[in-house]
Amino acid sequence: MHRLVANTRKSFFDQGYLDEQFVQLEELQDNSNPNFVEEVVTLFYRDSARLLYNLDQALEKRPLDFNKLDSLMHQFKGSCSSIGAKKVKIECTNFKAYCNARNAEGCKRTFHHAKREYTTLKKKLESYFQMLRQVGPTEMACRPR
Amino acid sequence: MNKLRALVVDDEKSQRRSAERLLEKSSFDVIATVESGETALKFLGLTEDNDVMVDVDLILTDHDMKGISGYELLLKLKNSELNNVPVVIMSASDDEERIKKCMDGGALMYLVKPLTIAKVTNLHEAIVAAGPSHGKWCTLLQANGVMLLD
Repeated sequence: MHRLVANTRKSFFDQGYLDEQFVQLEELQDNSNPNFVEEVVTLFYRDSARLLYNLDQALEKRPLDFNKLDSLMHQFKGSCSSIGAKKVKIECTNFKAYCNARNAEGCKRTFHHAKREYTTLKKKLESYFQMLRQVGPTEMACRPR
Repeated sequence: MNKLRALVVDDEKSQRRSAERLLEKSSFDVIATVESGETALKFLGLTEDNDVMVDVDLILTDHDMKGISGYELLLKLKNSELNNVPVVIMSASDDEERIKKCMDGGALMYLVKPLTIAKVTNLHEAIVAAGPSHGKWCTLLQANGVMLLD
């Protein structure tokens, strides 16, 4: 089970789902904050649901307000970077590029990709945290990348 | 030695929690985390309905928030009785004009998000190097309508 947890964690980095910022969160976890990483990730998904809703609403408006879309995505991208959500961040960057180019179809397409990566990561992290709860806190003591 | 007392201001709870933990790890005592500039001003005792000032050594605020921005909060703080308390702005933007504006407005530092242990450690060192802030030792007492500065 321990090996499964370690391999799962490693796969997040190897497959590009997470970056170094996630390791920063892990280093903030200790005996007095034993569930810190899961806590922050859970809060992230709660906070970002509102941002995604705002983006959805903004993408429904005609004509599109690209400045507003860029601003909203900037907020969302900032949130994603705080937990190391690498693939989601990449899609956010692509979205902002389409915003700058005033490309509506590109924005919609990349937003769809961003939401897909966001949901995929959420499911992966939920499973991972469930595994962690089963093995206990000692699994976090050694965290090679 | 007493820990430096910090207030965190950010409209996202996940960011407040991360910043809080980072500051704790760097030996700060986080006295509160609040979700807006308006709430920060009230907490600090800088509003009409709360003029009991709080002892604080650092205000770490996000730039982009609903209501007043971190920059606007910075300007209000620099125009208040807490004008000597270091204010650090954090933002996902590394726009040079924004950074210059905040530094010209009196920010001690501008930290680009995401925050890391290294960035916050540098912050602690910068505040210690800057020396004591006069504002933090002011305690306002009202007795029979007289303001006493401790």
